[in-house]
Amino acid sequence: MGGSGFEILINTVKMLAIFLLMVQLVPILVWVERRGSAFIQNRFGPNRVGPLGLTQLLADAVKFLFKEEFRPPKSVAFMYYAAPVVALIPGALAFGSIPLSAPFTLEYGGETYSFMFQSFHLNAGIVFVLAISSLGAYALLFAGWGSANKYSLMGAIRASAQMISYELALGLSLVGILLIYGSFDFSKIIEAQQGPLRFVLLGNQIVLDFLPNWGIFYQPLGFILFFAATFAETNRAPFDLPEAEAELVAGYHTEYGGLKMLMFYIGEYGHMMVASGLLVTFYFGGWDLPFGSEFLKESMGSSFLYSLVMHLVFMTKVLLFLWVFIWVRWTLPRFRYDQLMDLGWKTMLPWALFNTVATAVIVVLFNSMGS
Amino acid sequence: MTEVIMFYVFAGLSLFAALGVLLHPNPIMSVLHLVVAMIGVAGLFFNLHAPFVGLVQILVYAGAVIILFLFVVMIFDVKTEGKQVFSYGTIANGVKILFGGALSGLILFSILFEMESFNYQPTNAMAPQFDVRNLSKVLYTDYLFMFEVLGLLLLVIPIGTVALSRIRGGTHAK
Amino acid sequence: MEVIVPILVLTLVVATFGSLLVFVSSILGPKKHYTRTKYMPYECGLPGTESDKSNVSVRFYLTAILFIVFDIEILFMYPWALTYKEFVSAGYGAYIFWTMFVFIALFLFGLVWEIRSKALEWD
Repeated sequence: MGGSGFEILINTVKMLAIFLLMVQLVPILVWVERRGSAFIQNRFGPNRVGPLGLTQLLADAVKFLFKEEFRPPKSVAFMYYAAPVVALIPGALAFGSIPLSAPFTLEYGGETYSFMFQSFHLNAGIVFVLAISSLGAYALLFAGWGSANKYSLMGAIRASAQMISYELALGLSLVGILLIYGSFDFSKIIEAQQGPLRFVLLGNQIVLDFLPNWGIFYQPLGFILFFAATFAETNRAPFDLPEAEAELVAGYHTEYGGLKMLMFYIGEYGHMMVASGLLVTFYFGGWDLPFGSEFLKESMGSSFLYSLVMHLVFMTKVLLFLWVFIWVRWTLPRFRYDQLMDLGWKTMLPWALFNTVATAVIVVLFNSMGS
Repeated sequence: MTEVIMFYVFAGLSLFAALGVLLHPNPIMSVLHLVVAMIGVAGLFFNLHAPFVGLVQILVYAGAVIILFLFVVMIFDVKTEGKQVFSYGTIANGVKILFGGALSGLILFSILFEMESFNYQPTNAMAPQFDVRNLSKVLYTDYLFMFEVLGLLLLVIPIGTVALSRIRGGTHAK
Repeated sequence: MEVIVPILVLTLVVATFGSLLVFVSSILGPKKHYTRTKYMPYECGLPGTESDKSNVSVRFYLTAILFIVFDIEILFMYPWALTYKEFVSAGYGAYIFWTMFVFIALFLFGLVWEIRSKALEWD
């Protein structure tokens, strides 16, 4: 965590701040989801408690705290209680490994320290996020097996089968990103996306000043595949089969209530934040502000203020994607299970393979793309 | 220093979880202990400066293979069929004790008598830096033939599984 | 690897936070008497009939085993994709492309075979 005491202090504060940021975003997102769904369905939504119903969530949190503790008597106590805790961990770890802004430097005791704007920095960041997200299935299986209810078990097994099926398309669509940027490191991928769109086509340097150098222009198909796969990974509509009310009641959290239920929601929103963060990092330039980054960098240097401004840029993009997640949920109908599996295995996987081969060919043709 | 502490943390974690796999009477809890063991092994790889290998360990074993194990355990009805599969029969127990004893005997033997030849020094063992780029430069050039054969092998597995699942009256028949 | 320390610390922080939430809610909540109906596993208001550990379709098992195989194949593409550009700029572009093309062709053959064999059909 660093050599000197100052470094350890800053790194710890940073880690806790990023985790709290993630937890604090959840009530706001719940509010946006409830108000947004009401807006889409021509209703009012929560609008009584506080201005625009914003303090509804505080009231809800208190209500959740004082809910009756209930455990189904046939359930496995350890699994039943561990499941909501385990649901939090993958999202928090994955979110901690995404750089939320430019690195900053601080001076202390005459020495200059450099910090990354993330909980911890890994060179193999992409593989880390994939590996940690693949552990997310355990929370569902814990809940499903632990609550001793057939709806829970069916929901959990459906959910984990769905997650592993779409993990293939998710992992394969990232091969295109790796081919173009040649790095597992999020920071390097973001750095490569700064400035205007430029590439070498058959030996000619081409610069398009009016477009940012973002990944989506190199990987449009990869973006669509990744975007769709993240919906399935987060178990959100239109892929929310595990919670299909008409068939499975509430899926794996049928037997949960109160704060434990809320923790599954924190986990789900955490996965959504990770998904949005990855989308922004890979395809929308991370914390890059088109046409403004360089000016800001010149005027502010690598100060903490600059990092904070860039962090706002990053979070704006992330929040836009989170809104898309919510918007899609209240717009599209749910898939049927066989359609879901067909889409994952028979449509997205072949297209992701095609994307890989096509990107490999294009990289040879364009040679030094993106750099 | 950190590395030595981390080594003992993860080695202890894997050993403890591995014991749990063997000793827990409930097959589902056994499988879950296996997940912890895999994460411990991944931590050991991290400690050896090979984070990619460690993460692949988590991704493939904890994220895929053990989910398959869990499905298998859940597909068996633990109350009836499970008793036959996970029973403690005389012959099965004998075989278990024989193999377990042989393995632990080998490990104990090597620890007791071959300690010098291992020359285990945690700080020196870390020296070579693992790099995925170097792996790639070796895997796709020197071991290219092995790599393509591996592709063929990975093709055989799903075909074999599907073919087996079609045998009438077999364990996976419709 | 120094990075393992913050990962472990964050895991512990999150686990403590989560356990605390579970613990606090179990203390603060009201304790009510339980009835037999309340104890029953939830089943839309009807008395429970089936066993809770009813058998799981074998299709999930097939899905999982196919997932493992394809997951490993995808993981083998990661180091390749990471160094692809280096091979290309060193002048071995065609070599490294065909290397993986054979592998992807085998992958695709397996996938097409699975689809045609109807192993991936859910009915």
